[in-house]
Amino acid sequence: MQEPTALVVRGVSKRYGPIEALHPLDLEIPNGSVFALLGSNGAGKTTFMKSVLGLVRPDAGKALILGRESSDPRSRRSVRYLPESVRFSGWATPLFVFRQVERIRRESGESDLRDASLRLGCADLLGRPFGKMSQGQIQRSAIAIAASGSPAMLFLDEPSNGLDPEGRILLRNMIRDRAAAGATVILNSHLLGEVEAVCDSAAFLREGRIAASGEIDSLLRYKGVVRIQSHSPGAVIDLLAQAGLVGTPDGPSVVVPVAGERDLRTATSLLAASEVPFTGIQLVRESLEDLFLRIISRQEGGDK
Amino acid sequence: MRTGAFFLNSMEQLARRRLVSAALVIGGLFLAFFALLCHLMASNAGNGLSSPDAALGALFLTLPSAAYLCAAFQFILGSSLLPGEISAGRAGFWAALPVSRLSVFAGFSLSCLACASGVSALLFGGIEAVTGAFFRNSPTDLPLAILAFMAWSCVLWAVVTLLSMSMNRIVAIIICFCGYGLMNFIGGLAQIAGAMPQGGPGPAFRIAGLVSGLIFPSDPPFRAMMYGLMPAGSSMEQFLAFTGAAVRPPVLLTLYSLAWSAAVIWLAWRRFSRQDLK
Repeated sequence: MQEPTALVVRGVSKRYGPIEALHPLDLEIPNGSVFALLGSNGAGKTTFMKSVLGLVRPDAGKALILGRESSDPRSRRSVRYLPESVRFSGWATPLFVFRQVERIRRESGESDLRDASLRLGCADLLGRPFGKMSQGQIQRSAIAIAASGSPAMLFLDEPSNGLDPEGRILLRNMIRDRAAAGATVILNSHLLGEVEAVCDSAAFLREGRIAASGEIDSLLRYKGVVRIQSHSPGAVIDLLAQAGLVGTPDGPSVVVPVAGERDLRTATSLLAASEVPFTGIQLVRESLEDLFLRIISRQEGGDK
Repeated sequence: MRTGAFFLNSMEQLARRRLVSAALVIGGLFLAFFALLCHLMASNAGNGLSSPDAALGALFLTLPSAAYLCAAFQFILGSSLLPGEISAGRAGFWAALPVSRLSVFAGFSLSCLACASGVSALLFGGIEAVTGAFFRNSPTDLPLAILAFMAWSCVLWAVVTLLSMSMNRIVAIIICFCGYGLMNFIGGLAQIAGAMPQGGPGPAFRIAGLVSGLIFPSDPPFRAMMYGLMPAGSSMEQFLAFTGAAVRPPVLLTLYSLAWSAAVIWLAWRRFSRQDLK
């Protein structure tokens, strides 16, 4: 029977000397989701991923992967990990590394590797030594090795590193395919556009703490902005002020931050009932980048 | 237990390493020169040099230098395999597989021991075979030589594994090699002291030899191996007694070396098991 929660983290913390890399963290990631860990450099994303996988020894807390404690090697059955940086021997080929990996995990065959390589556009590289590949080719091959077969969980640490635009699109498609097949994907990335395109939920890490987490859609909607196009922005601002909404002129339009759907409904009903001319109203969803910057600046401003 | 799979993986990797092929080539050249030496000695065997004496002379000249070559290979290989996997980020890649850290550690480090011991065994075995072919001699105590060889290999493997996981690789190699040389020197001094008359500096050197053998027991098993491989019945034995090569060493020291290796490798494992992997 499949566990409803792919990953449960309870109080995991890690300190490197004087630096508290992870404050006690609690997190649950449902099965089948594509989850992003976001944060600035040094926020603790990689440490978190490695702590969960047992590569970094946490000072406290525990993690359950697919219902098993992560200290139990069996918890990593059907779990794949792509490190942020791994240097394969220059003479080794992707096929050689895959055979070595499969000698241990015994979960997929060479046809699975060929299939994953085809999807990532690196099928012709399987027999080429890593020493004769570009960084992007190495990354594509490493992703193919990690994602081959039918993993139940994928931990991808900065998988877009070194990939060209085509590679990023293929990676995005691969993640979607794996998610559609029921796999849980946990992704560390700085490329927020990529994350927004494939992830359904995210956690923002800042200085080892979770600053915000949840479904991306709900996070973005909650902090939305309405843009009202009008030749009389001043009239629009005055009208909205009656409902306590603060509009800011922006050329031939007014930008109004809304705290939720209720504010949005209020603004539209006020405009519809009034004589104030407007040519359009558009709910401007924040980009993930906006959200990221806001969360980071909120934390820096001490608003916790 | 996937240790076997890791061991095979690691051996596959070692088979492709230039370091291993270079060691085999150097070992082959060493044996070729040794065969030439034996040929020259055998040609002169009629000039008052008996076969056992010639064999003993050849082995006495060759085994220590072969041991230094093997130790250097062991130190370089041992310091590069697992520490290399850790620094390249591959240890984390392997440890994220459904396998215990013990399997990762055991697979990589045992393959290192097997490879280094295999190359050393080929060299020592080759030396013994060449000597046997030219001088028809047989070793004094082959089982003891094999046991001592294993203990000697284990000591070198354990110390380089621990040190290379605790410090910079080059520093670890230098410390291991200098330590090995020093212990060998002190061991030699202790043997010479043993042949000195009572009342001289003998006892002090013997105590120094014993203490150094307890701290880093690479010398006692090496001397036991030398004793086991030397030909029996040589008239030169008594002249070489001071080197320890012709004195049967206590087996207890060899067994102590094995126990010491087990303790040191346990410390290395403990360090690896608690290490944060890249």
